[in-house]
Formats: sequence, C-alpha cells, structure tokens
Amino acid sequence: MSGFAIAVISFKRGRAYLLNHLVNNVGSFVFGYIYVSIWRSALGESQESSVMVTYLMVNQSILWVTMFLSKGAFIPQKIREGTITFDLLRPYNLLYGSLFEVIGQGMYNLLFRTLPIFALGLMFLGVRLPEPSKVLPFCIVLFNGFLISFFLNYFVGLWSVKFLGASGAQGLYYMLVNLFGGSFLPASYYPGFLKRLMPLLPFAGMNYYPASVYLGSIGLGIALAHQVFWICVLFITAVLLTRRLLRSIQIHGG
Amino acid sequence: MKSILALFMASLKTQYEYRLNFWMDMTISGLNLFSDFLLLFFFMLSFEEIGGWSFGEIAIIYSIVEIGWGVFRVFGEGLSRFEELIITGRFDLLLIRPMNTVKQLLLERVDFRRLGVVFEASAVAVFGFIRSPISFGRIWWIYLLLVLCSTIMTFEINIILAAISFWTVRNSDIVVLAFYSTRTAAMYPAHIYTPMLKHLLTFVVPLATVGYFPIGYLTGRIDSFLAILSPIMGVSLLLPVATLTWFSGMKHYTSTGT
Repeated sequence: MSGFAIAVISFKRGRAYLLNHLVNNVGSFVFGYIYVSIWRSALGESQESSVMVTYLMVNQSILWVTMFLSKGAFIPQKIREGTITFDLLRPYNLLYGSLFEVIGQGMYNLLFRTLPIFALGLMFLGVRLPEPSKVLPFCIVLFNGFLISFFLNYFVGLWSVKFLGASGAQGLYYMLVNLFGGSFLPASYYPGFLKRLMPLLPFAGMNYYPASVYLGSIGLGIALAHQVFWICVLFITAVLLTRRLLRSIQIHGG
Repeated sequence: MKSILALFMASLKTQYEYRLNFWMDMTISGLNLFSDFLLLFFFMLSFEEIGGWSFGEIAIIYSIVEIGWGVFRVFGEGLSRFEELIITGRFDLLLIRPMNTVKQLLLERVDFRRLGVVFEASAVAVFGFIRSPISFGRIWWIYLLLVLCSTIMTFEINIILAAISFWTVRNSDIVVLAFYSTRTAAMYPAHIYTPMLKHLLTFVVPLATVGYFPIGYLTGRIDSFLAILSPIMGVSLLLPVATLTWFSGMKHYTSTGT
C-alpha cells in the first residue's frame, strides 16, 4: 500500500510541469525525426525503411520510460539537500522507496511523454501500429526494460551516496545506454563481435528488445530470458550494495 | 579586465578542488559524445554515405557544430542553467554588480570539464579531414572561421533562449526544442530533412549556415556563392536579435526572490 502511495505522489509531482513536458515532447520528436531522416536517406523508400522508421520511433518514445528517468532515482538530489535522512527513517528501505517513486514517474512519463511522441510518429512519420498479438508481449517487455533502467539509475544514486556527486556515474550511464541500448542501431548493424555482444548486455533490454518485440522480429521468450536474467542479477547487486553503503553514509546538514 | 581574470581563476580553483572528479568528468563528457559518433561510425560501416555525403565530409560539419557547442558549454554554463538563476532570484545579484550581466554569466561558472567536448570534437575533425578529399592545408583558415562562427552563433541562440526565461521563468524545455534538437539536426546534411526543417535550420535557428552550406559549397555540391557567405550573414543577423531580446527581457524582469 505504501508503495502505491509513493508512486501516486511522484506521479502528481510530474504533472506540475505538464506544459513544459509537452514542449519537450516536440523536441524529442524532432530528435526521432532526425534519426528517421538519416535512415531513410540510407535505405530509400523500401519495406526495410518503413520497418526501421517504426523501430526508431518506438524507441524514441519509450526512451522516456527506459532511459530518461530521474537522475539516479532521485537519490543524488536527496544527498545534496540532506533529505536522505528522512528516507532512511521510513519503515521501508531505500530500494523499495526509490522503486515506487520511480514507478510513479515512469507512469507519468508513459502517459504524457511516451504516448504523445508515439502519436506524433503515427501522424507524421507513418509509424505502424503493432499486430494485436504483440501488444501484450510488448507491454511486458517494456515494463522489464523499465525495471532494468530503474536498477541502473539506482546504482547511479548509490554512487552519489558514496562519492557525494553523480555527474560521473550519470555520464557513464548515458554513454553505455546510448552505445548499447540499440535505440539508433539494431544489433544486426553492429560490427564484428559487438553484433553478438550487444544483445547480451543489460542495456539491450531497455530499447533493443522492447522495440524488436513490438515489430515481432524477436519472440517474447528470448526477450524475457534476457531481461529476467538481468533483473535478477541487478536486483541482488542492488540489495547487497544498499546494505553495504548505508552502513557508512555521510549526511549533509543545514 | 582584472575582475574578469579573477572570476576566471575562481572558477578554475573551485573545480580543481576535487581533482579526481575533475578529470573524470572531463573524460566522461568527452566519451559521452564520442559514443554518439561511434554509433554513427557503425552506421557508416553499412551505408558509407548519408544523402550523398561521405563520412569524412559529415564528420567535418559534425565537428564544426560540436566544437561551437563545446566552447559554449565551457563558458555558457551560467546561460544554459539560466532558469535556476531566475527561479531562485539570484539574478538580482548580477544586476547590482557593476558589470554587464551577460559578461558575468559567462564568467560566473567557467566549466573546464566541458573541454572534454572540445577535445572530442577536434578529434572528429581530424578524422574528417583524413577521410575526406578536402585538404586541411588549403582551407584551414576557412575551417577555423566556421568554427568561430559556430561558436558565436551558439552563444547568440542561447542568449535568446535564456532571455525567454525572463518571461516564462522556466526555459529548459524550450532549449531542448529550439536548440538541442536543431543542433543535432545541423550535424548532418540538411537536404535529408523535409523543406520545413531545412528552412528552419537556414533562417530561424541558422546552424546549417556554419556547416552544411559552406562545406557543401567547398565540396562543389552547392553552387550558390551565398552558401559560403551564409555563416557571416547568420552570425551578424542574429546579433541584434540576441541583444534586443536580452535587454528587453531584462526590462521585463521581475524578481522571484525573497
């Protein structure tokens, strides 16, 4: 119950800046359009090109649920302001609280960022709707992608607990997701051994698998095997790291 | 001049206080952009050209736009986070000091860690000149001039966008729409986009004039002599717009502070 309440508050917090986010959505759509233009110029007017447009725009929309979540799961901000003390006093642990806080934000982003950007893609770029049988698998894989992203963001947050700043870890996070998430390039376009390595890394679970399941090019089973494996690994790491780090936490006062 | 130097040194000292963080942030901000370029590199392994432009030529316009942005990030941190100053009311402080507000903003928080962006973009330029038939020896002064125009234009655009927060208070989302997305668009040959976006990049947020048009002219793809003049035209036309917006914004400014 408390988890749900945390999520609702976090959801409402997002709503305060709805207009700003709608402006931002147009910007995000333009980014998607730039990638679409690059691919279209390379592939011409072909079947492959139209599949690629859908792949790119699905990714551009779901980035808001799988990549651009709050920096470090809200933790760096709490560390800077010292309000982390209140979170540590609460009757649930930091991991649990952060998860639901980010779930609330993720729900907000899904409704007011992912869906509008996706709708713009449908209207202006000829994005194809998924086959009805792919809708549910896509939702499941997308949720798992969100979880993977949450854990990686949470690690960025823990980094700031340890080193009191998150900029380095945040930069590293962006770089790895950008490079191996597959939002611009599907695995088959990576050179050499990276072609085989990329689908194995956790980052692929955030964009490459959800968008591929949407298109039906990868089955639900394979995507789930990958994602569930990584969610387990990341969850265990998160629990262990949380325990270790909170033993020696420095708190900013004032 | 003395006060400028003092502000400059203060920025350097604060950041260098955390040495490990300083070098790490610098490396990571460079690597972060490098990951974008690496993805483009992978893409080019399969396709070789975008809109008829080779990878080398694209790398050159890419670097022009990016170096301009990198230099802006070093000096423009105060401008790119301008909404914070407005929200917290700290802009009042700048108003009571005997120095031009823009100058103060540029020197208040010189972010040396962003030099990583400039290094990364310069490496992209070197790569571009090696890969393309354009010889650096022959056009080096044009290239440097374009980088200069790109830098000035980035500042002008961001001054205009920062000034918007005098009216709207928050502007970071407008910046994403009006600058970040157009900057990225200007890194690639502009004819791959719809005419609307191309015109936008030519006349409204004219970042295509510092890379795409002049390099297109030098490689013989664009005939009009206007293409080589366009960076100068873009920069000089934006200057009065930026100045006017900034000063009328300041007139409009009402403090949020306590």
